[in-house]
Formats: sequence, structure tokens, C-alpha cells
Amino acid sequence: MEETDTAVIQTDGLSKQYDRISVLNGLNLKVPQHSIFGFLGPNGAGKTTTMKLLLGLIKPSSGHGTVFGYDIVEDSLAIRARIGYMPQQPLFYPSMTARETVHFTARFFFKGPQAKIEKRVNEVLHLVGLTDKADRPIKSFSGGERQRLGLAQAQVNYPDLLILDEPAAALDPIGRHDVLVVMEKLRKYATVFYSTHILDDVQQVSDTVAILNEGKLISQGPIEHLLNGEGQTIYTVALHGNLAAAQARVEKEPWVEQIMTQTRNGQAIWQVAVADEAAAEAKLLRLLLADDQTIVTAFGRKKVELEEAFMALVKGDNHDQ
Amino acid sequence: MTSNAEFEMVEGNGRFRGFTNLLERENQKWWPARRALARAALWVVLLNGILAVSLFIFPTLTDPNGNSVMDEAPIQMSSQLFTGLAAVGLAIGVIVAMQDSIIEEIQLGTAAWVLSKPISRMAFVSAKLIANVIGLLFLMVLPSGLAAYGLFWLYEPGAYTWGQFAGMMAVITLHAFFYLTLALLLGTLTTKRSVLLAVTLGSLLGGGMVPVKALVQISPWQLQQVGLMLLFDMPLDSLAWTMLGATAVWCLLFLFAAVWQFERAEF
Repeated sequence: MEETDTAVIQTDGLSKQYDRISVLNGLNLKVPQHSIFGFLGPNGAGKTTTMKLLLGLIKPSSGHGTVFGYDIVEDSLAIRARIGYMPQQPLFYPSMTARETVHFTARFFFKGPQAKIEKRVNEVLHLVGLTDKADRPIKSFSGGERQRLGLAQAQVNYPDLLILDEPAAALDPIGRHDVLVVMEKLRKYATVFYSTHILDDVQQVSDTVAILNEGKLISQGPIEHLLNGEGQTIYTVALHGNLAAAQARVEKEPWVEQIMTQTRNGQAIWQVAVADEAAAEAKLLRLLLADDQTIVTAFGRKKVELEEAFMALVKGDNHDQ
Repeated sequence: MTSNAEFEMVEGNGRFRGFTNLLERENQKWWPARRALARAALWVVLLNGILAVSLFIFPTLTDPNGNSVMDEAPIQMSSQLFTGLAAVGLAIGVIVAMQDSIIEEIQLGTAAWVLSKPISRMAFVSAKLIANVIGLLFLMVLPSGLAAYGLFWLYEPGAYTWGQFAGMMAVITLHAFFYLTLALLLGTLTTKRSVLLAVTLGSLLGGGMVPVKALVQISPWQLQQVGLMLLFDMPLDSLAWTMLGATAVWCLLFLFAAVWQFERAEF
């Protein structure tokens, strides 16, 4: 089968039901090649179910999906040969050491040469900071160390696609930072599809995101699009001086929809919602500065924090139901 | 960062992809030298200790009137004792070994992790089966069988030929295979150890009490008798052959059903 040019993962109406209860409902997902794709959603949204469907660990109730152009049901083995997967709360054989675990994983992909396999095992253990703990049995590992090992074994085969289920959940801030650095490095070689609850991390490294709620996809696209807010453009202005006159001038314009005002540290903070982005960009600041008595100390388009966008989308979706 | 180009890759999408690696891992549960020796020694002591007592100590015991406490010839009674003990003991041994084989992996989540790698599910089940069969044969059946033959030889050289003794041990091994494959199948059907143990031990310990003759004929419940017939060099009647054939068929059915079920399981 031919690999599609743009999408590494593509699903079409992918659904999963357990005993007539829908856990994933008609998912249409498109994960671009070489993206770091953040897969977000509250607990029970269907993120892990989606990952398990892509890996062939469970079968869809309806719909279909492809990875590298291969069907997720019919060609699962070919897909798994090119994937690295790190499960949520990774659990390995407790009596094995970290080195044995990565070596065991590597042997599913590589027959030899033995020396190169050993070198690769050492390389990935070093990458996740487990070199000095490589020969300790896993049963003595902390949650964070298991998570690091999960990341090491997932990338031992130079995967074209890394599927990571909550890769930083059990890590301390340094561990989380390390994971983000590794993901960033891997972008050149692979596509990273990962789920997380840590929205700060998503904002730092992801270029594309999808938000899932109660088994349904509620938003998907480049992160910039999500952070700029959907539909309404808002400018944030900090100013003082003759506010009444400035407000009157701005409100007269037909493209201004609403001005929300508040006071902080002796100056006014306006949130100006506009209908015409181009007109606002060209005229808003000039209107504010039209008289000498109004002083503008800060002006810019409001960036929505991911958490804000996420909450708005999820709450909006829950409200619609 | 280098790439896959410098490696010799595992290729193909066959039904046994990943088998060798999985088998190596499964064998590690049986074969670390010290553990293997301890297991073999345990089975030898367990099965042959009682045989030794029965062959060499019981015959010397007398009641207050000076009569032997044994009603039968020591070698006959000891043969029956050993055959019964080996059949039940080895079956319990494989049930205990198998009960965790799949259930524990599913419960721990290691099965889902391993199955996310490029391996076939058939390879996963086959590796469990083969590793346990090798363990059963080389650490349980062979050492205790050889020791038992040695004890019989010590008691009465030439009491049994190699063929007679091997025939009896083969039947006992088939009996153990029945419980091994049954436990494997149950491991794919349930995640409750209690269910697995209830069914297998119920069959092993309670099967002989089933009053339905037709059912007994197509089960392994009377296989010890068939083993003794071979040991005593008696010709096998049609009932014995039916029991042997039926048990072998059950083993194959359980095996196919286990693979079929595991292929459809969700993790």
C-alpha cells in the first residue's frame, strides 16, 4: 500500500462500543507527517481507546482507519513494525532490568548485528537518563523511572510514528522537560502522536492538536488556530487618561462588537471584540491615540491560553448535548 | 542519531512473527540454572521420595503378629502409587505453572504492551505453550521418571523394560498435556484465577467420581489405569485406546480454541 503524502494517521468514522455503550463516536482524525500531535480530552474521552484501535489491540465497532496508508484491522502487524508505543502507566516484566526490557523490545525489530543492537539499547537508555539504573530490576523503579523506560523502549526501533499515552504524567518538572526535548528532537525523523492532560506541555511543543470529549472530536487543527480563538477576534488594550472620549470614538465603529473594561493597577484594561480583523488592525490603535489625553501602554491581539480554549470547547460541547 | 539501515531487520508478517524472542523470554521463567535445578530436584523428591519409602521401607514393616503391612507385592503397589501420584502431581504442577501464564499478563498490562510490538498473537500463545511443554518435559517428567526407573531397577533389576516404563510415562505426560492446554484455554477465556483453578482442579480431582460412563471414556480421568496397563505389559483394549485418542483430541481442540479466542481478544 502507498503511504499518503500528508497524513500518517487517518480515521474515518472510527467508532468503538462496549456493550452498546459508545466510547468513541465517529472519529475523523488526520495526523500530518512530522507533526507533534497533541491529543487532548478529559478522562474517559476516548484517547486511549483511539490509540489501542490504531495499534490493533482492540477492533473498531464501525468506521475505519489507516496508519501509513495501511488498514488498522487488516495490516496491523505492518503498522506495528513502524511504530513505537508507550502505554499509559507503563508496566513491564518486573524481574527484568531496564536494559533487558529495551533489548527484549529491540529483538522484535532487529535480528542483528548484536553489537549494533547493544549500542542502540545503550543509546536510548542514555537519552532518557537511565544509564546508571540500566541493570536494576524494574520492580524497584519509581513511576517516573518506569515512564522514562517506556519512552526508551518506544523509540528503540527508530519508529516513523511514536504513539505516547500520557508520556509525562508521572514525571517531575525536569523529567517533563526532558520528555519535551526528546519529542522535539524526534520531530525531524518521526511523527509524534501523544495524549496528555498537561496543557502547558502541549502549548510548548505541539503544532497540531485534537480535542476529544465523550468519544467525539470537538476540535482539530493547528495549535495557533486554537490559541487565536475560534470565531471572535479580541484585542487587549491597557490605557489611562481620557477614557470616556476614547471609548466613544471606538464604539462608533461598525466593526466593534463589544468593549469589556476592568481596572488593574490604576489603569484600564479593555477587551475589544471585533468583527472585522483587518479593519481593527488598521484603525483601532489610531482611534485610541487620536487625542493627546489618552495614553496607551499595551496593545495586542489577545492570545487565548490553551487551557482556556480547551475548557471553553469542552464545556461548550457538554452544554450542547 | 542513526537509523534502521545498519540493522538486519526482522521481516515478514507471518503467523509466528516474534515467536523466538517470546519463547526466549518464557524459557527464562523456567531455566535460570539454579531455579531449574531446584524445580527438578523438587519433583524428584516429591514423586520419588514416596516411591522409595513404598519400595524399601513399607515392605520391612510388620503388624504385631509379624505379618507384612502390605497386602500386595511391593513392586505392584509402588507402581500404582507412583503412577497415581505422578498423574495428579504433574497435572497440578502444570496447572499452577499455567494459571498465571496469560491471566497475569493481561491483568498486569504486559500483554497489551507486548502485543503493541510487531508480533502475531499466535506467536504469543505458542511461546507460552512451548515453554511450558519444555519445562514440563525436561524439569518435571524426565528427572522424576528417570529417578523412578532407577528406584524400580534397584529394587528388582529388570522389573520393567525401558519401553514399558516409557509407555507409562508417556500416558502420564498426555494426562498433564490435557490440563496444560485446558489451563491455557481458560487463561484466554477468563481473567479470574479462581475460575481457572476450579475448572482444572475440579476435573482432575473430581473427574473420577463422574458416574456417566460415556463421559469417562472420552476423558483423561482414567488414564492412570491405561498407564499401568502399559507398565504391566498388558495389551490395551479398545476403551484404553478411546481414552488416549479422546484426550489427544481434547488437547488439540483446547489449543485451537485458545489461539482462536486469543486472536479475537481485546486488550
